[in-house]
Amino acid sequence: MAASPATIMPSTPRVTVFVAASPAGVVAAGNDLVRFQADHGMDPEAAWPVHVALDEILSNIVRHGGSQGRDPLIEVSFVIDSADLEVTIVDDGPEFDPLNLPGPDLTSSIDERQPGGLGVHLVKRLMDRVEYARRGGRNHLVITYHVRPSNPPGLGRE
Amino acid sequence: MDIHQDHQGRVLVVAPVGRLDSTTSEALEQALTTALDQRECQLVVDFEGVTYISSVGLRVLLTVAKRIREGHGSLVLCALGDAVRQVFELAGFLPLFSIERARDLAITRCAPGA
Repeated sequence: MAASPATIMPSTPRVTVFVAASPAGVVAAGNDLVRFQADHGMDPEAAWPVHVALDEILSNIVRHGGSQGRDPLIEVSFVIDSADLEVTIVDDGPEFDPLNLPGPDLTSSIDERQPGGLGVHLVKRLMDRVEYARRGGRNHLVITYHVRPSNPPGLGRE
Repeated sequence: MDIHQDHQGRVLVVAPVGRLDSTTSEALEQALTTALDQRECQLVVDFEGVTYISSVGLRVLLTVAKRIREGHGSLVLCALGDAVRQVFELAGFLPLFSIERARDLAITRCAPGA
């Protein structure tokens, strides 16, 4: 599963931003995603799962050590290739492969339900592809979402 | 985030507006916790204005639901949009909550005969 991220053709629209490993940085990255989508004629509403996934991943990094690394910045790249929106998140916090996490508790009663692991579970289920690699002391997570045909990206919008 | 609150008889309707994610869910948690502290124990959370919800928002709802059960109150959710409903489904949350289509139905279910 943990294959290398897909090779990006030089002509593919790509934007890279650096955000602080803090709640403000999470907000900034979300705004950058909205801007990237708008710049490429994509309706942010249609790609809401990418917003949820980005929020889950970045808030995890902020909680679990992004700020303990050498570089308190998180690198976030957005790439669009036809209907595929790909986001790469790179941080130098402790090694964390979300694909290795056990699944969350999805069935017990409300009194026994433990909410742990839900964020990563949502990322895996909402995205079409999730790839992880540890390279050069950094976590590289690549998530890909195929914008559904029922939600044509930005048709008829300014 | 904006959170509208409105009393309908004994029921307090709490309606957050916008996205319920890692940076905004705390406001909803505060509103609901304050309501519980003030012994509001019949709560409706109206999702009409919520664009999407992440796991932090789910956690807030789970915490509040547990507290309401302990206090023998009732919590009903309503007007979940497609995005919110899909996340509830993936998280296995649909069976945990009383959910109605519309606010008036939720109020009736929250306080029957009120």
